[in-house]
Amino acid sequence: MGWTRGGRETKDAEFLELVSSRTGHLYRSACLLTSGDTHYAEDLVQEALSRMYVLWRRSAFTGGRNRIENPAAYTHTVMVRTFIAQQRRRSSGERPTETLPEREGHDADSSLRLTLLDALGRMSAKDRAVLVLRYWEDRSVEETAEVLRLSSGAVRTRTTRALARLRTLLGDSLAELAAR
Amino acid sequence: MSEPDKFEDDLLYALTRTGEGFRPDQTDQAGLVAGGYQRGRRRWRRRSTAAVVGSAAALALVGTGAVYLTGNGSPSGGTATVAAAPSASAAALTPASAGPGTPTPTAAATVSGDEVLSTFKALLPKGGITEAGGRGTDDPQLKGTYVGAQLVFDDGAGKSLLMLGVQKHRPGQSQDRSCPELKPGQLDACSVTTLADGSKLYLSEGYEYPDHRATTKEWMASLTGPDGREINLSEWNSPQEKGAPDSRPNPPLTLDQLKAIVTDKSWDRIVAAVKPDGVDYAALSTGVSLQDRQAILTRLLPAGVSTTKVDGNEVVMNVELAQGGATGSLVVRMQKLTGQTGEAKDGAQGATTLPEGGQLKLYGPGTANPKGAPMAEVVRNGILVQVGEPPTGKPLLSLDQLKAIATSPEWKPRK
Repeated sequence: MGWTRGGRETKDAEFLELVSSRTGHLYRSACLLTSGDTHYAEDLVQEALSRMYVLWRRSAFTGGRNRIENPAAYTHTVMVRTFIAQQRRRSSGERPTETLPEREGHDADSSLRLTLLDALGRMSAKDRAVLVLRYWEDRSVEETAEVLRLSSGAVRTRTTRALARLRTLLGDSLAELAAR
Repeated sequence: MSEPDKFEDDLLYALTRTGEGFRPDQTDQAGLVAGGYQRGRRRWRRRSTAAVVGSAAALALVGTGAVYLTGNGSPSGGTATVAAAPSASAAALTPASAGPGTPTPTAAATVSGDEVLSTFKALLPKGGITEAGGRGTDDPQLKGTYVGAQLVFDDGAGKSLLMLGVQKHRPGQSQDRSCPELKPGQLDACSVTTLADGSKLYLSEGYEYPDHRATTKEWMASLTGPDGREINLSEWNSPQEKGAPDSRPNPPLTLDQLKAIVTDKSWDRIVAAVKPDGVDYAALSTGVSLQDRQAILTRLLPAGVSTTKVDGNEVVMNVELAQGGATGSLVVRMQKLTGQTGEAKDGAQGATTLPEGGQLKLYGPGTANPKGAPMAEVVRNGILVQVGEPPTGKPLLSLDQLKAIATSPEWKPRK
């Protein structure tokens, strides 16, 4: 199979073909993770793709032993893990009290988006990731646990807590906005 | 009333709408692919000079630590933006939200991270304690609604991470923990019991990874009390949650010991200082009961339109309407403005002053705020009234009719 054979050009073409069709969705997930910081989201997507490229090349290099089962889904996993790791590095060094991201690229009158993104921006990286994985990417508890390297129980707990926190932040403005 | 389900539905909808709104145009998308590809090439070249062993997953982890310095030096420089101070525009968009320095008038007292930690330490058996830290109600990120402590404990048989958290829910908003549908090997033990004072106690012996990728175990106790308290305590047979080899076969404390810690009276003082999470509808209430609000609405509805079902709380009323054979719906919100939550709609256009006083804003097609469903919003004498028609059922009322209802002087507070 093309997996174990072929020069770099073939591998690279395969890679580009694979990721091109997924980039739009990756980007949207990244925007939610970064609570609407589109610059950071772009960087995150590129970082995830670059890691994926290395994994892709490696899978060929090792004769398919490290074959990636579902490259498209795995790219998302890599991105979420990258995001968490970056946030962890950041929060260990500095303790920003409010990490409101720069806002760009959305309509001024879109209160739903602004309200939601603002609330997401006030949550921890892991809480945000749990909500994005469960409610945006529609992953199961087990899949979410796998991505975040947590136990299923921890994912459940974190989801409950994250929902509670989001509810605190949003009041029931979400219900009204969603209803509108 | 299944508020949690409703909230999850709303969140699902809001995330989808919001996520779908982010669309890179074609050139940007190609740019992202090209950028990722170039970075990947550079990374591969650096890496392939050294022999690397390990699974794909391990590799992804290794990458995080090793390559970041160069990653941050990338031309876009975007990774720094999230940590930046709040920008003026972001602050302007959220005038109603409490800033980090906002005092919390309802808090009984503050407890510091050190107090949480020392309370926790005092309940532990003899042993060495390292890497200890606590977070109190003064922690700016937690905003007083969550406190916790963590430490590495060694009873002489190996180091173990212990993590404890305390939070408080409003009446009716607690969610009791339940044992998951057991898959073989997922948990070694799990139980939920009701204690004499009505508290629910969850105890489990499980694993950090349900697939046993590593042998690290997590044992935990979770107490939810009738006063709304939730105290969670976890322990591992390793000094770290993940990524460190096991230091001992099992975590050091038995489930009985975990139970003794989470049920201890010394948490009372700390629980008292923690602010409840969730929405405080009582504080927003105008004193007009749901029944009275329904009566007001019934008087204001146009002839031929009737209410068939009403539910809600101190603030919000969800109404099912009927007209002839058609059904529709209405959401009516009446609350005191406290300046706390996102109660006023940010960025809405076209406020008009009503002859009898107050400000009116209209939303929906044909208004200055054309997105979304029709809604009329009146702010008068510190009271907010919103009458909106969600897209459930048939739209039975025109925007003018919504406006007529919202502007009625009948929506008067009782307290």
